[in-house]
Amino acid sequence: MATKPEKWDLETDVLVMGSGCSGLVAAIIAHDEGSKVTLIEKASTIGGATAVSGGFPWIPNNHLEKEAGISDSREEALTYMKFIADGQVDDELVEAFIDTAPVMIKYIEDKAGLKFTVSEMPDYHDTKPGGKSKGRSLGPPAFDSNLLGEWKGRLRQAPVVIFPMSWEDFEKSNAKADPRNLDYGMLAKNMMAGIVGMGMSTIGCLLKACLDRGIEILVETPGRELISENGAVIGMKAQKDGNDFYIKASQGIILASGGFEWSNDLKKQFVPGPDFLPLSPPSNEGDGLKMSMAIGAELGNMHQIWGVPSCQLQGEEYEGKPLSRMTMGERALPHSIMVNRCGERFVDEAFNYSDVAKTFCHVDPLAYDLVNVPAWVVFDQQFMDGYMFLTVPPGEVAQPWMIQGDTIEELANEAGIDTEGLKETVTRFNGFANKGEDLDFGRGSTAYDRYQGDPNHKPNETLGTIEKAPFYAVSVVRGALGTKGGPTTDVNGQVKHVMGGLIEGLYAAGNVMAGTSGPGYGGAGNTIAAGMTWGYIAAKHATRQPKR
Amino acid sequence: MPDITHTETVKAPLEATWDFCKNMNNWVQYLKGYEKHEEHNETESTWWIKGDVGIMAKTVSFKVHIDEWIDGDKITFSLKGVSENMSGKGSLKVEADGDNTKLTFYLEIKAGGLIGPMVNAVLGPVLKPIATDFAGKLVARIEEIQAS
Repeated sequence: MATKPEKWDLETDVLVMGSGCSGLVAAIIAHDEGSKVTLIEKASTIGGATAVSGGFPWIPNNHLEKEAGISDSREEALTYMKFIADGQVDDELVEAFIDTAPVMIKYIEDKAGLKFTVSEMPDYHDTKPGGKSKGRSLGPPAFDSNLLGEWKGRLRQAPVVIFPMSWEDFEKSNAKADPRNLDYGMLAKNMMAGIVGMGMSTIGCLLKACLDRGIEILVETPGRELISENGAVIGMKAQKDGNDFYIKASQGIILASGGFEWSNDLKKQFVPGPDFLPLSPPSNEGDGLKMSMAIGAELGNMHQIWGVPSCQLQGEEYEGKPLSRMTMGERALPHSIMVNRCGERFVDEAFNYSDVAKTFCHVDPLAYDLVNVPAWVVFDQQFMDGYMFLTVPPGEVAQPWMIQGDTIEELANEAGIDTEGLKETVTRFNGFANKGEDLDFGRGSTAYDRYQGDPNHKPNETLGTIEKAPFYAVSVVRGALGTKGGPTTDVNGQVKHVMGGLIEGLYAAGNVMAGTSGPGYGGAGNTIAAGMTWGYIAAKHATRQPKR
Repeated sequence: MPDITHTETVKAPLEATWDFCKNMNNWVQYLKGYEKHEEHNETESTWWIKGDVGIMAKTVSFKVHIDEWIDGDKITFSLKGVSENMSGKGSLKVEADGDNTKLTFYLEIKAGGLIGPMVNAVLGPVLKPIATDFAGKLVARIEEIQAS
């Protein structure tokens, strides 16, 4: 912990560290509540993990679903969220999230000009009590990044999710099942004109709201240590232009610096199971977590991640680090399965990525072995002809990173998968595909599964035979959109001390905090919704504090 | 189709400039993102280039064919992605300019296939810095050789 300097380099009321959705919402709210706000960002660009994501918030009981005539209620939301949290999160935190998220999103729509639309996407456990088949995941609009003026170049560029269009238009096109439905000439024009979509749009709108308010934003300014006095956090030692930079925060500091998925040390210490690929920006190294640990924060949910089955394609990099790609349709569309080295399926492949990713942690106790690592997505030419596999559009040639075989046996040999196991699995799966019912794992039995499938493929949108040569396999491993452990907080987002009580002046929001969904993932945008909501809550509380 | 033409003046006579440019092995390593190349014969080679288009970087291998080689004038080549749906062509042309030489570099790269238009949209803006960087390095190297 740093000592108080003789002279502060900058004095503010509320200091926000991190510029993803959590930090930007916190900054907007703190400003609107009348406080002087400063936001610092370690990277040279704004947006954090949100910018490289789909940009969805998942808001149960929101006003947009009501306007669309979709039934939802606080009770249903609480029932569902408590099921998701699996008893690992205090009920009062779950209630704070459920009660505040709809208020927050309405405020952001009204006051920050970020207007989402209701998505057709079902909750990740839509069949469970309180789960919904649509309405809670809210899609971002398209955004004209030219509105950011000189900050346009500071908007973090997404490497994968780059469709410069609104989610509403993307969803209507059914491009997730058939990318040929999109007009790529039009998208190229949008891109060149500065139009952005998905996470970049969400961040662009929020950043514009900050700029319109005159909120001070400092990039390339990493936070390093907290400074406290009489038990309260009063400032931070950051770095600017290579020098120590001391910032006083008279009402509070809101940590919104993302997870620790890019810190190998922290991953080894806290996250069990096989190593995982981070899909967030490389600047997410757990800075906020380490700063809060140094000041005695209680930690929670440290072993949980927002998991996703992922791939790395040789030669791809993002900001100098290997780029990882999430798998979605690759697992869920017809004519593909996921198998382990025994050639056995081990999960409903089309199910939500977070829970599918948990199956990589399954251990055979006798062998003391992770039985589903490594794993492969196995598919056939029908898939290649009809769907997109990562970077390969339908009908285009296979890539060197795809293992190929003219027969299932040959493919198994090439990949190192048990031949007889894979043959048996494919034969059995083809029987399910022909009947339209997966008797082993229930693939296609939920609204979520079917949403991820091909609506034009019947009788089951997610099941198709694997029978047309050549056959393909691509290695898939555990990845993470981010970690979800960190300092525990009270209902105001205030960080708890490991010895009891609260750390005055210190708040946490988003992936830096102990996630309030515990081990679970409610629906598309749960991570963003939690970040925005806890940013809102923390800012509301911090701005009510007397200035120190 | 994204393309760029860039001209620089080399403070060296045409003969010295051409002597350097005539052999692809002398200059291919000055391409931004160059990783390695393999020469298969007088006209065929493979280049591995890490292309950084801002949103991400990716190593792409190209089959390169020398299409035209006019002594003392220019060398033109065509590129085809080994596994990527990309193609293009380029040239290096030299012209006497008094005691100096005008060196003109031309490069065009086009992505094909379904998502080609979007790839081309991100490729376009990066060609100019690639050409400027390449030509600048070439000029510096030729002038260095000339001075030694």
